[in-house]
Amino acid sequence: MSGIEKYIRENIEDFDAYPVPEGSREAFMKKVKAERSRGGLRTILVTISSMAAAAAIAFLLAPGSLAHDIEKQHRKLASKETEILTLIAETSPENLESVMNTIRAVTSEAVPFEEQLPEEMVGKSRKQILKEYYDIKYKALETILEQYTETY
Amino acid sequence: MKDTIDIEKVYDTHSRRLYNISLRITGNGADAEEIMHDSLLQYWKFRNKEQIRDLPRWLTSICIRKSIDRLRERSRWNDFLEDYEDPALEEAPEEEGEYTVAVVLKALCRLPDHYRAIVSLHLFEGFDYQEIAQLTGSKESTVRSLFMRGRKLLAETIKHIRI
Repeated sequence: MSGIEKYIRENIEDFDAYPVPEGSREAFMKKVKAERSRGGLRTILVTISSMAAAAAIAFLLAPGSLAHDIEKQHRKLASKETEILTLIAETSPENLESVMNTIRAVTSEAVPFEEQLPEEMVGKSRKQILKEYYDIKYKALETILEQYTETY
Repeated sequence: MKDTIDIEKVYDTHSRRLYNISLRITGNGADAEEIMHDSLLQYWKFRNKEQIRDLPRWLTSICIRKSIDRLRERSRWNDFLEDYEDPALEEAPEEEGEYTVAVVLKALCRLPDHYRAIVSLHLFEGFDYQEIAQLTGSKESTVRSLFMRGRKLLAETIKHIRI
């Protein structure tokens, strides 16, 4: 062991020598306050938008219709997405943006898939293809969630 | 209100240690303060606090990760490691004279980012080469070599500061 290593090991307690900068505590508490009000606002907005969306869905979509199935798939994806983002927000918020980009790459649709299907395709085959299409996206989100669950 | 009181207590107990850990890795006071704040905020936002068995260790780990991420952002860390050629290891020269905390910290802050981070993680935080390799995403042999050169550079810088 070199002299410098020996010195550091023997005096390790003394090396937290620098005091935190003046005003740092107050600045930190301001950040806590700002985070708290942001969190409260987010909860209110999410609640309002969820209630409005649920009301609209119930009104517009008849069970068994194709639109109803599509909406069901979108909700399934959104719920998995929320699960992933909650985990990341709690464990490594610094990765939130890159994870959101990955999720976006999986779930985004420049042209909705259902609009790309030929019009002559109807009934069960149309529903089946839609289901397979969304199942792939759902499995991709599950893989992302599994990876992060193992990491944290 | 209770969580505000709790986070104030956590801040008072851990802020100085986290600030100094980050300062030794990043070598920059403003970065270290921001990282210390972010680490404590992450704790405050963490929902399952009861799952944290060893709070000092948990906070240290978050603080170190964030500090390394900060170095990555500012110093093209990955490019450096890709270009780094593992030279034949040399023994550090025999150092002489007395040390002081102030001189060692001053010299540490003058080291280039990569050396400072690895020297700090090994000498101050007690990580072995394998753990540092995992943290920084580099090879264990590279970490070992960087540490040896960093330690030598630290000794030379201390000598220079003394003069």
